[in-house]
Amino acid sequence: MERISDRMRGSVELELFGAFPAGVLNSAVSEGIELWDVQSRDEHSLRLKTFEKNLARLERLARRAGCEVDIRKRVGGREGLRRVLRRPVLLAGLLVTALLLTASSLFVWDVEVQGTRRLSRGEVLRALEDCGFGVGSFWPGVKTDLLRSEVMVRLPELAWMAVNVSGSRATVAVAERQPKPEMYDAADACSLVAARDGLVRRVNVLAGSAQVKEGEIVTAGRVLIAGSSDSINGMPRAVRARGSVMADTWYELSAVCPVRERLKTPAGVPHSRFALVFGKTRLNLYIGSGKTIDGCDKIISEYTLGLSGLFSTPLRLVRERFVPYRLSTGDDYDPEAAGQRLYALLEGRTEGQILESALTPGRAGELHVLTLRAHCTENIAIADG
Amino acid sequence: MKADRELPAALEELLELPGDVLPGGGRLTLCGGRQALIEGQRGILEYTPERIVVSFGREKLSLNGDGLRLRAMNRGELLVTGRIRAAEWE
Repeated sequence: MERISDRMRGSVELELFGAFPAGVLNSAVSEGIELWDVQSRDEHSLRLKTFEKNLARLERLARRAGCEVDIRKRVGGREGLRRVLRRPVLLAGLLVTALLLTASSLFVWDVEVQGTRRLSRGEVLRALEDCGFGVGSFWPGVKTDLLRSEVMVRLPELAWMAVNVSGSRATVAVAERQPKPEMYDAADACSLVAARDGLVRRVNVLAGSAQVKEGEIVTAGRVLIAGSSDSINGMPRAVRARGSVMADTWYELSAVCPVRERLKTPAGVPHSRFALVFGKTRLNLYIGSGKTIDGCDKIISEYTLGLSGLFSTPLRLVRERFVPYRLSTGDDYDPEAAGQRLYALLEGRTEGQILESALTPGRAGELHVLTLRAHCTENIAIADG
Repeated sequence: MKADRELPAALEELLELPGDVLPGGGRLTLCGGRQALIEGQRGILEYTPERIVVSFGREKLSLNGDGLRLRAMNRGELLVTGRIRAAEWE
């Protein structure tokens, strides 16, 4: 396939007739003329292609070698331009498309938010829209300094924000503030108590007095570090207890799943319907949009017209795919997935380290039961009240 | 002037240089018998679908085969496609 750049430059396919046409090839390449697709028709004729700009020189060389030149085909270049100019509707269409693409590149059609942690992408987008920046904004008119100030007033969680627009695609980079550490009044005395049952392994007191020893078994709620300390006059002094108590703890978590449950199985032929979205205006390419379709899973995909990461256009194609299903009763129990969920639950409950753990499958009547038993080590001291 | 013509070859041998360092030689790169890249050519002496003869000055290279075609050609290089059955240096 000829490259687009070759087509733009224009090429000609021609045939050489003469006593020794290969001699013309030698003269042509020695003058720097590029040739390609050279085919020998017979001993006295050759067919070849070259750029349009080389045609006059090639004809001169052929005449000098006593050969004749027959132009068979012209592609692209001036001839191509002439052909386009002979079609005013096509030319107008090309011009309008080019104008629309140029005008479209001055508007924002895609907004990407980067750097959010506690804030959601939607919160940042809503704040931007409240400040007048969003899909369809004329970006050369946006004052980024003003926009940044307004958004940061609306979202005090932000420490910094930058808006970069490139090819209709706006990238909003944000950095969130570090949360303030928990403040407490040093005079507000309190003790540290056990968050859960455990076997004490190590007691580390920063303020207050230890009430448990290593090797002692404690139950949830028992005072571990009391909020009182000896003073120089012999009277106890009320303080806010600080420190940690590392203890061995044990967890038992169970997951229960019915043996027979309702399952979805694909049934029938999936079908799709399409819609076009121009900016914020949606045009459904189907009738009966208000009709709900029962017994189907609906999967929505969106395709934006443009080059990913480079530029976007306001046009998006939305495909809604409906996959019919039939409800049946069956056993869909997956012990591996249940085990993973139990481990995720355990990691959410303890900030310590899991020393050993075991999963035990079982069954109770019409139920699958999976039990996770874990031995952990963690700090069980928490402020009382 | 035989000595002049043989100077590059003598230098290559004396200095233990690779064959394509000094000027005057040609190079043929074959890809699976379907494509040949010829570098350093000085002109085509014969061109038919069954035989292409290329000059390198003192030497000649003959490519024999079926449906031979000059895919691209510029000042020093030739790209030949087709069914190449034999390459012969003369």
